[in-house]
Amino acid sequence: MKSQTLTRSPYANGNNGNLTPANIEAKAIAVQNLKDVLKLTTINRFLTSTYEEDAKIVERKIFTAVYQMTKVGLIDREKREINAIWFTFVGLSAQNIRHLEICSITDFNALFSITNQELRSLADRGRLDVETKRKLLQSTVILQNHWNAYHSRKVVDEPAGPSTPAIITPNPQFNVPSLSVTSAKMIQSSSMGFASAAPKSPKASSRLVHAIPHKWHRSTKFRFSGDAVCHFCQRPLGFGFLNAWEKCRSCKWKVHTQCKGRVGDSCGLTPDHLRFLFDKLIQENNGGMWKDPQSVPGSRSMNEPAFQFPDTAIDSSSSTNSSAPSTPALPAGITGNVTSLTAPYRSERKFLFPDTESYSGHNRLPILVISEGDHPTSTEIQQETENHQKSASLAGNIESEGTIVANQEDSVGSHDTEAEPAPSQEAVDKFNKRADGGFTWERHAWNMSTIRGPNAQASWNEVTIQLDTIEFDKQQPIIGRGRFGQVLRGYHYGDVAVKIYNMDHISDVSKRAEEFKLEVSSYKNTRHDNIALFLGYFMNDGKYGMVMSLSRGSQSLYTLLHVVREKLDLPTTRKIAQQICQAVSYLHTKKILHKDLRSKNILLENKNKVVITDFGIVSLKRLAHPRWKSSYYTSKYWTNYIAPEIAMHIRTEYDEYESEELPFTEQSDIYSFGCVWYEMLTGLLPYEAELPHTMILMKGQGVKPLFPNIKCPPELKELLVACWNTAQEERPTLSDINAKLTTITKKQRVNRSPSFPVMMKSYESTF
Amino acid sequence: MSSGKRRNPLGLSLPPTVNEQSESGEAAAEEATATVPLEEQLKKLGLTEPQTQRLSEFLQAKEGIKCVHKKTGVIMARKLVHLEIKPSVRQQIVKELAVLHKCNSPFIVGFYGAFVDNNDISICMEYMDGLSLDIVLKKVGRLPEKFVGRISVAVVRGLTYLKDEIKILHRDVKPSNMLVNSNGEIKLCDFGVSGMLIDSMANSFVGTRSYMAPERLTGSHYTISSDIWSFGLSLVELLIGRYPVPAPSQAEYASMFNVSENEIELADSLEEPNYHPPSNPASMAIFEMLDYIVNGPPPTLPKRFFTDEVIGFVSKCLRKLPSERATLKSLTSDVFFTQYADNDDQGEFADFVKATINLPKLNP
Repeated sequence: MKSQTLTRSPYANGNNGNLTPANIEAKAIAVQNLKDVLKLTTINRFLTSTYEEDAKIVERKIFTAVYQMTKVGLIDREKREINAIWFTFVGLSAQNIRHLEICSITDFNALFSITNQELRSLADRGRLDVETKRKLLQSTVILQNHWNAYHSRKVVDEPAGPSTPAIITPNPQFNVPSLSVTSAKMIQSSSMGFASAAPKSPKASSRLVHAIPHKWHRSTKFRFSGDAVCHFCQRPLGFGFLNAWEKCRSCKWKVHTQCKGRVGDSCGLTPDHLRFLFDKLIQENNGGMWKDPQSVPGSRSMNEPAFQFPDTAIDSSSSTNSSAPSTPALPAGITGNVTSLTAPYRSERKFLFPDTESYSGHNRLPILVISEGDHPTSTEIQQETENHQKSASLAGNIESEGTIVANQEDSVGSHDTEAEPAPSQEAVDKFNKRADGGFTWERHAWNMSTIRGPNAQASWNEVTIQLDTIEFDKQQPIIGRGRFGQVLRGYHYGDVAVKIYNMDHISDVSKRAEEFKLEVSSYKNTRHDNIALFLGYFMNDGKYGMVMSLSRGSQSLYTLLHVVREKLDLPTTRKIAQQICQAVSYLHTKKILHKDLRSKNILLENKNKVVITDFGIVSLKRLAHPRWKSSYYTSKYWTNYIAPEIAMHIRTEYDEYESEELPFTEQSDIYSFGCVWYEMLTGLLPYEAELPHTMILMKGQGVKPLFPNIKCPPELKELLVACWNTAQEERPTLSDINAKLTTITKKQRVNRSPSFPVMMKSYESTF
Repeated sequence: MSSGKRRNPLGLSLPPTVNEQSESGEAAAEEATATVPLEEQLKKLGLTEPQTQRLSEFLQAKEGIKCVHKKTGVIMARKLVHLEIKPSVRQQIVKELAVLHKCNSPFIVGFYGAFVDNNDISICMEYMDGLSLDIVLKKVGRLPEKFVGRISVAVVRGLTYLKDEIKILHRDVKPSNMLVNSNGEIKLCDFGVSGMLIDSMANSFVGTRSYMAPERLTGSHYTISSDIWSFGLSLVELLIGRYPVPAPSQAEYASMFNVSENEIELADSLEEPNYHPPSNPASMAIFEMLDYIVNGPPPTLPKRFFTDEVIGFVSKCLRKLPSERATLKSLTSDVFFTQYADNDDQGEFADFVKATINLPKLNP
């Protein structure tokens, strides 16, 4: 039966049925194993994201069992049966399973080939209730991840075949600061792979293909090649008659004969061309990412901190590279490294269920390796993989982001102080999985944040500030206290505001650092005039916090409106609103949700400059702490600003593992923006003086805040009220708001009366 | 004296008190409380850093850090509230809290004093060793009717006292604000004496349960009737052992009381067509819960396990329309009330409380 890509299996030869008695027996045993294993676990343990050791073992058993069965080969009916067993285990009822079958989810392949979004709508169509739907989604992701992890482990065990061509640029001067070794490697494999793919090609395939075969020529004449090195393995070619190397007639590359097989169809692929391909590929894929968050793996991506800050997964990997410029990371199975609170990603890999038809002998996919230094041999890679896997736990000593996949000690620009190896082989093999020769673009491993390109982000180390380098004001250091921490005034090469965050909601002290990083890593990616300038983090002495620039004389919008009680005129309101709009829109483009937009978090440096701060911190986990069963502890006017969908989502029970996080979206930020705008226009808080419960009830029932009589153009009022629409889609977008704000006030100017008396018109008609 | 100079010829001045804001702690001589001697101290000078002996169980931060007044050795409970206020507001709060000194009733928790320290206010009150009724409930499951009767009498009397003598409404009647001690006393605490204090609180609580009357939830003005509703709801909770929203189904009652389902007769209102049980009782959204309170049927008691008197008493309190609800006066003339009004239970309740002090919680 067709086993996986790695096809060294004895079944590789198209045994078209499970007809041999040995097979039948093996299958029966495998099925029985699976059933037994499934009985052992409870669904909760399986689906909790904190994988305890024994849960992991059980899962491994499950997958071993399934894998065994796949080796044995299955017909449709059996696949369905396994499917059914799996879903029952997950907790779906028979009716649900039938529904899924009707929607053609009959085997794991199908399950993995649909996106999260589709699965959700499927679940809704089948009227699965919230719990079951969640279990279904989560279990699918977990299944996939485990399959892949298991699979790659298997891969390492099997002998590396001859069909791992690699292309190496010979040129040591090849300086690709923004490309790194592995990125190129990935791209190449992806682009190349599609060329040589079997008829089926993956959904996320790139259309860029470089598939030009070389024209190898082995000279019979004497060739002197003392200095030349093989393009692939970087070892010197022999000389004289004892040569075993060949040269491509078109691109002039020289490779050892034995390396030739691994080179693949990369004729003409110069570094420049590669870079071009790479850029295009990145843009394409990232265009997809920016444009459509839903298509990114994990449709609840916005709410999972690990997605919001796309480099966090990378951050979490354990390399201690310092300021390594182009160091993309491929954590060994991202899911394993993401903390327990986030649901694992749904990758777009396919579950490789062997079909009963035979696969044609496929080529092992080429791997592009552009090295400037030593090229690691496969054994080195393997070792590094093992090392990494051992050290890949999140111990909270995570200092920097990024690891180099194939560890290049002397690669350009990166000086690893303590080079910790990366899961190269595993990453590499992600692209070699498919039986049909194609593979998918591992999008979430590769995004703009992992590649040090035009949107490079600071690594953790660059932004760490030692707490003792900051001088605190002796007299009155504290300038503010919020629900989640305090703000102190300090001096660190200038006036700074030091925010110390309370991390008590994570009881396990060793996990606090990592949780803190997840929460605040979005700050370092923000560069906008209207967003408080972030200077650095600190994490010492059990204090977690960050340093922001402070401009003396800045006060919060809240203070201005409610304490000083200044009435803002319309032009000022408009200016402030527009700046807030721009800032929030910037955050949204960076896939950061504010989640706590309110007047206390908006600082006015002077009448003309607005700065927003404190985004991305609010979460149910924080609100539910300290654990009083009978209430959530929130900041004072929190319920005034939350969107109805958030208000409706707050539950009477909170469970660390089971409860879903609040469904913040861009539109919920827009709702809060509307509330702030209301505050500026009226000087009142929305739903002023109501109790939190009353507000929740009102919001759920669609009751909007009252508008007192204020002088405001009706279009502006309409726009504001539209921000409060219960239906998220109907709220205006920030660009709409910005546009309208500009045009409406322009109109206003036109209405000004001339400064000389106009004879024709009456007094009333002028105003 | 005539001239200003004469008034203070020797230039004497009082030493400034450490805590100018602190109130004099002349705790009122309350009747019949024996555990804590109440006539003592006047100033609370040393209290900014009292010896705190933490309770093994925290009530909520609002309540109960058990502490000892250094000077007099009195055990009291200290409540810490974090505020964000201006100094002027601070004065007002302290003034409002001064009212508490006047509160002198066997049904109201004693008040020693309060002081403001930075942005935190500490309120020191009588320590009730039996803690609050919601904790007792967690340990015991449900309370027998006779105890609930005694409790009702105490609470009604306490509310009457607050309304008539102090002229304030409680605003937050619920089991966790009813404290008991091993003398068998039941006292109310945490009533809304200082509006300023409530407004100045830096953070707020979004409760996962609501004891508020339906009209209050929809934004109406607060009256004593809303307190009555909260009182009724609390009684139902004490009697059935769980927060009564959403109303338990027959199956639930059956398992609570260990009988078969068909023996449970739900009150008529629950069989109305409007009754829509929530999707997943285990974890409702707060909105759903509130919606149920406002639009759903009021909680009732199942007929079989409770006397008609208590069922009647409770249903009088739990009318959706405030105009239909009983008043404090009418409650005092109710049969259930008079039954327990001056009933001397020979210390039964006191013993019960003593027994529960050492029990562990059933299920958290």
